[in-house]
Amino acid sequence: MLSLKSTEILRLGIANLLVHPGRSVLTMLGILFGVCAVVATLAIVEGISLKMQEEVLKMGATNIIVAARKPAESQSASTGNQGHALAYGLTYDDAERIQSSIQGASVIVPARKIPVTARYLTRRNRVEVFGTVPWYTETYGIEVTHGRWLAPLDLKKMDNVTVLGSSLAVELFPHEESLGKVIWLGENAYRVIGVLAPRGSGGTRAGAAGEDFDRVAYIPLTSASRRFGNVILDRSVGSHSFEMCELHEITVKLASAEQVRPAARIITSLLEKFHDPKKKDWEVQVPLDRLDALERTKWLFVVLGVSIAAISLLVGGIGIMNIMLASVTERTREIGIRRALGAKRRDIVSQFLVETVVLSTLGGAIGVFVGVLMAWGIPWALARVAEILKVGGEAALSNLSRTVVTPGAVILALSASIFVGIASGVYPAYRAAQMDPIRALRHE
Amino acid sequence: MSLARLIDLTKTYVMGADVVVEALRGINLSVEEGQYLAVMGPSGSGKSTILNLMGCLDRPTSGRYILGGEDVSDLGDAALSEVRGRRIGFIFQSFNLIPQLTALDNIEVPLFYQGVHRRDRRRRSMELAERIGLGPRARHKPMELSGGEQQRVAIARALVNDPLIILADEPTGNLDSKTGKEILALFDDLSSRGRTLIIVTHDEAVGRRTHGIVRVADGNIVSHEKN
Repeated sequence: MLSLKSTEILRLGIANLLVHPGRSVLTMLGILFGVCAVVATLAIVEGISLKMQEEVLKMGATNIIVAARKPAESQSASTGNQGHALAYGLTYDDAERIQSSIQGASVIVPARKIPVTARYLTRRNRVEVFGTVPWYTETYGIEVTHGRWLAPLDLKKMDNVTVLGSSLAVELFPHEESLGKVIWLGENAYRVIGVLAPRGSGGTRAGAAGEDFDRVAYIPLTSASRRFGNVILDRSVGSHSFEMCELHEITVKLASAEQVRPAARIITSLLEKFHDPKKKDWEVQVPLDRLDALERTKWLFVVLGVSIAAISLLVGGIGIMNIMLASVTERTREIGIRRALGAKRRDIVSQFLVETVVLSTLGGAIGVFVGVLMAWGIPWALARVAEILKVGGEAALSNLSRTVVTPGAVILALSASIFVGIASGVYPAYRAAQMDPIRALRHE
Repeated sequence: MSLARLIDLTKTYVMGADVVVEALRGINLSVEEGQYLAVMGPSGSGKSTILNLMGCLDRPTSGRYILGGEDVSDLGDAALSEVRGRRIGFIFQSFNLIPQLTALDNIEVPLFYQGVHRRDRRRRSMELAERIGLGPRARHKPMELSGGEQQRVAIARALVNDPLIILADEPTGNLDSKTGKEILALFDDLSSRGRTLIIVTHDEAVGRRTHGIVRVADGNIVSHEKN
């Protein structure tokens, strides 16, 4: 295509841009900011998405969580109907049925949750007692920092032992060793046998938003049934409510991700069969589905962010075109001279196109650089702002605590800027090439 | 065989619906190798049009133009550009140097479009800058040069591609008489070395220095005097 060696044309283009360095820089700014916006937006979206993915994966991609749901909660609680116990939720029978119907279910973990007050000496705290089984650790990654986790023998003997979540351990035992101490959970005393590493909150989980895994006392499921019975009295401020619920949660862990969806269908039909269809008191949660939903949401944000950035790239492109049209007019005489001295139309086209492409590519490259710096700086700056405003970093800002610049984003941004350079250069270059050399030579 | 032959050349400009300007009404002219000709005539007589056609900047409406044995009257835009770059040297009244380029770079422009290597271009332009007496000012931009120096650069540029024919349009029109004479001396020198030169001028004194004067009026050649 080019009748001249491209390096020669490139050198000429750069030399021409350097004639008006200030103008060239200003022309470049539109593209620079556009590309910077693309890179930074994609980095933020990628960061949020990765963080959410991790949270979903914390729930386990090969898990199915069957959770008890309290039907029409408002009725029983707010009317203060104190004599009536609301019966709902999953049963041990459900757990057994699931166990026998799902092949390839490696682990089935039943659990129940009971809100109680935990006490040690004068320190007291509202916590959740989580009755579960020793193999709970096989479905959720749990790290024991002190002592040990629940053992099969604890379950068998219905021992009054407990493993504390990290925050709870600190709240009850701020200064002293917790292992071996006896704490009160409701009406019963339990010996602390272990403390867990922080797990974070299950914020992304449906129906359990804000659940704090670190303020939980884990006890053997058998002990929970025996000490607390199936009726739970929840004494919250100003009202009492009774509930009857055998199990709050059954986690089914499967060997592979492919088995998750078929198994979820079987569990759903099982529960539909054995539970009252009028009062749906259960729910099947598949973390894998949430992962897919997350992926779709991410693309929505990517498209949104890129569209906004595309508008600024468009504006940048119009800016370049505008300047190039002015430059073509200003250099009419030069075009005439070059044509008289042997330049073909396509030489003139490539000369002006090279100028716009060099401008936009350079703008794009600087934009990528600034965008990467911004992607770096945003989490840092937000952390500083949170510090100054004394907002907990855990709060709304935590989703922005990380940004990820992917190679794809950089390639996208750079190719977009090159494209804008070509698109905005074609018309001015064409105008320059179509000039009549005789008239161009006479141009003042 | 003539170096350049214009045969029954006409050029008509259509300016509007029924306004037609006949700039040339059938020109016949033969230029021999090594000839130094002046084209003279009043404004609007068509002498610039002759120069544009001879320089392949424009195509005739009818008639033929044979340059160096090749009929160039019907060539397309790209082929005409090629002919201009290889066979024609232009010198203009207003010098027409590219302002952002140095004198040397300006001299090299025709070679640039022929794809001549950078090193060879530079060697050739240095040689020519030396020959026209530009010396140390060769690396200056046109704005920093005097009118005479600028026209010397333009002459060097016209010579750089070793053209068949050099076309000069009022080359002394923008210069004071002393500088004009120096430029004309350069032309005489080129002619004595065997260059073919066509010079468009108003100045009878300029005309007298040439081998012959072609007088143009109303789009016709009215006389062709030999000096």
